[in-house]
Amino acid sequence: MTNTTTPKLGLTKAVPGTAQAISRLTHFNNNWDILEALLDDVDEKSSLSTFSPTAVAGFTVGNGSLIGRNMKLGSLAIVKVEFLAGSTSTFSGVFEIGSFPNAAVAQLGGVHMIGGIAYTEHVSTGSTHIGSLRANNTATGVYVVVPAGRISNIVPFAWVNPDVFKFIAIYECAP
Amino acid sequence: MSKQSDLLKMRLTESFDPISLVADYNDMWDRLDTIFGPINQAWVSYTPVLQAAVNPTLGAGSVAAGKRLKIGSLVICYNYFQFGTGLNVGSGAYKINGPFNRDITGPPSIGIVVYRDDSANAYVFGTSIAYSAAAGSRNLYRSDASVGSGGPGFAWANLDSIQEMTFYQVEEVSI
Repeated sequence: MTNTTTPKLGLTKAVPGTAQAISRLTHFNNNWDILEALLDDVDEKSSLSTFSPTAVAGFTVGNGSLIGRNMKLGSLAIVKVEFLAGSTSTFSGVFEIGSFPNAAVAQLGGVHMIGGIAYTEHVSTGSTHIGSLRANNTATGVYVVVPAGRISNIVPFAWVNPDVFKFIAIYECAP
Repeated sequence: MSKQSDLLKMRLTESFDPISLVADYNDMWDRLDTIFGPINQAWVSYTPVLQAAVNPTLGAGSVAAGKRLKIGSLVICYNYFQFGTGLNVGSGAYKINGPFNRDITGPPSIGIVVYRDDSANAYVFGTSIAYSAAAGSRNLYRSDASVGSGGPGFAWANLDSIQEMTFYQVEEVSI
């Protein structure tokens, strides 16, 4: 509720049809609208939205796929992203992924706070790596950070078709 | 607005006493405000603390900042530390404290950490684990070692940083 000063009905009895009663009803309905908007964000009728993350640097998607889903609950944004390399994908440096919906607003020390849990797999060998995310210090894109460092064309393995990374991220957005 | 109708119907058939009905609604809004109010607003800023057996001092121009979202008894938070000039790394394993004391009755909570070596522009993946009876603090790790005054594979220096994202159940539930 953004309006915390007048969210409640009065405790005294209101005469039906009077301005007093109507005023209370208005407050009540306003609160229901706010609550309903929040609940709609997570209601089963509202499935995750689709968005298109972008390959900002380090790789091109080619005939592979880079897909995203997102949801927003008030000021809490959650996104999940998956990249599947294709035969015409190219790799040239540190991967940076961007274009998240509901932009992250929390900056601490000038750095956008976007964290999450990531996974990469070199399919031909079955080699898997866990990781996290961290925003580019000077931009809103994110790096995927595994124990060997930021994933790139050679980290944590030499990327080829059909290798994969996927992650889920949580961050503050505008409510 | 089916939920509103259901609620009204439920209350009216339970006991049609206008005064107690209004009191019930007030109680309900208090609870909803407590839970949903923070979700619909910007996250709250606070100052986390980096601790060790001998506490580090971050130095001039350093950053120690946090933002958190509290939903009922669940807190989601980002903690960010950036060293400045004239830093003193202290001594021993590092712990992050804040924003709330954690419920320590259950299993430990785990967070995600990314360390950054500014001079090398290198990133190190890690975790934070709160398993001790020290309710508010979380120990820091990288993939194969504890992280403390010796650094996460590099020596702490000006502009190096620690970003933690975690969520856990707070110690006291007030609703």
